[in-house]
Amino acid sequence: MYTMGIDIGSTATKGVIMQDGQEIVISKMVDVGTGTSGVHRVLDAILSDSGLSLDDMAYIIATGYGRTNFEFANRQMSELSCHAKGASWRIPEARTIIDIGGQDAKAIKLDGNGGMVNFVMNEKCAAGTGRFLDVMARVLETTVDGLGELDLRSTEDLSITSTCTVFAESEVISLLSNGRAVEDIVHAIHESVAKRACGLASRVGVSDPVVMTGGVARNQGVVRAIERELKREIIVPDNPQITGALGAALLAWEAVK
Amino acid sequence: MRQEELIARFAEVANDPKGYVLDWKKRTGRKAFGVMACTFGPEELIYASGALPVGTWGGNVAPNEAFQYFPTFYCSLLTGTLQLGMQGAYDGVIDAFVCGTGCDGLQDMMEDWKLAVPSIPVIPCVYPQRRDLEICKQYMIDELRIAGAKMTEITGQKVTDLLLQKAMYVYNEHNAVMREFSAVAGDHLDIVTPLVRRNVFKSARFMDKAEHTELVREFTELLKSLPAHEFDGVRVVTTGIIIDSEDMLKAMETNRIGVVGDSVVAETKLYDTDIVNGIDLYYQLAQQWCDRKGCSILEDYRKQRGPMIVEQAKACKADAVLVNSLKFCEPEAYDYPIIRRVFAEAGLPELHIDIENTYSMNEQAATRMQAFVEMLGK
Repeated sequence: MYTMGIDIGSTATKGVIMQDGQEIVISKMVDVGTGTSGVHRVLDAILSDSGLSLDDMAYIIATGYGRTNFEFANRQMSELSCHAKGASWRIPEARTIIDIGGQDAKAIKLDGNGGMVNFVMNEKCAAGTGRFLDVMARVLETTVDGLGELDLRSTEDLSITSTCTVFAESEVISLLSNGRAVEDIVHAIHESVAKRACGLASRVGVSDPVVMTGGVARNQGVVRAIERELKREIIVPDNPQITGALGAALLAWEAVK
Repeated sequence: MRQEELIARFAEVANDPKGYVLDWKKRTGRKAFGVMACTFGPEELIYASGALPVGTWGGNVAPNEAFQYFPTFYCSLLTGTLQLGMQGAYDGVIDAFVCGTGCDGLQDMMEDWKLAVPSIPVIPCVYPQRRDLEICKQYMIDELRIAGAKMTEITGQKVTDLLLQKAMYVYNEHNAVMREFSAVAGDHLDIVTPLVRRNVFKSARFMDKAEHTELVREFTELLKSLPAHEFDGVRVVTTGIIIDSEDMLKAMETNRIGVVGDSVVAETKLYDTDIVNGIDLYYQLAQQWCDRKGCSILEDYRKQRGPMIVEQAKACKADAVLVNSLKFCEPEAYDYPIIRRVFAEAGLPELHIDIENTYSMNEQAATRMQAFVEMLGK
């Protein structure tokens, strides 16, 4: 039996097809989110590459900000439940999830059996999310994917103190004007993101093992900064950004098994 | 059929308060005074002076001009109300603006209004915060008398003891009716959806209380005549200052969240404390102020808000508490860590949502609600 999970986020769309809730048949991602062509591009890609059709899907769950706009879904579920399910399937002993997406950061506490017992999300603004890193990468004339490598070459500790993305951008520009090394500025940006994420995590209570999901988990600089801040190891599953779609596919299977 | 008519009337007033106030003024030939949000303004005094007290709680408006006076991130109740004043929304509707100083922002608001909205005079009525001291009542009596005299200057109607006593009766009766409605509504969550409930409470902030009392009493009696509804969603007690966003209320309904009670300033907190009997009417008004408790915008020495909500949740058979904090509201922010711990110790699940009262759309709040309901297994 095949089930599908579609995670329509603010900046990316992810799709997963699973067989019998046991095996990932295919997963795909495009870097555009809700309100764009991303949904249909992902849908076309996972169906054509797997040789399956919508009729083969026993159940489809949509999640993410655009979840209510996916006409083929049997049900919509929150991305928090889906990340909890997906992360627990990959790391069954997971107790804490830190998920940083395009404009949301979330911390989820699990009961050890994959059940969500508490969660918090970023409030007031998108500082410390993927969008924050997008803005900073643009100012530093690099890409989000390039930030992790630059961070490794940092030699000096700097700090970004502004919470607001716009003010933080000004701070970064000032550091550049003062001749500070890009690598050190990137390191400071990652520290800044980590402090906000860990602040969220501390509100739900951090228990080992801690798993990080979402697109920002691909940035090793942020992961290392969070490890330093929490003083513990962070587990990042392969393709961390598909965790929500994976969880949706698993929940879809649970709905019909 | 009458039930639908009543629900439609509450919605009509809630969605068009200006229409109601202008009609009331035309019918009565009397004045209307704005009462600033969060101040528990002296409505009985206004009523006794012959004017209609009209709650001013901002609205769904971009406060671009108000940012001349407040930082861009500031409390949306203040900036929204000032914006509406500056863009002329209250012109011809309210004849004076009664404002107190319950928080730092309100202190600024009273002075800013004088400059920003010169066409509508301010009547200051500053309530004391040290409500545990007898001297505060003496101060408040003086403040009320001064405010009452200013009201008389505008309405031409002297606030006599008889008129004030009548006003107190009308308000106490309204308080009782609102409390009964809140209790009964929890058994009829199929009819009293979060939006319907909001409209009942929101219309109260604009309508003549005598008129509103009759409508709510009739609605409550109709509800009482129906069998209780078995609600299979999440029953919550809400708390915060105001929950007004239509999108948010609809998201609650979509996610099967029903409100079985509230500790919300703009809702039941306005009506949970009666004026007690006494000899000096102004002293009674001051005593009512001192009797209010368990509210974030009042000095709460004994930190009663959290335990009171826990007790309320038990009494209402609530599954959880929905904490709706206004962004950048300092009194709410101070309270939250304290009440959060109380809820955790009581084993009462809690969903915290942090929104502005200005902008309606809040997708993240809807996501949190859905996740919360899923987490509770509903």
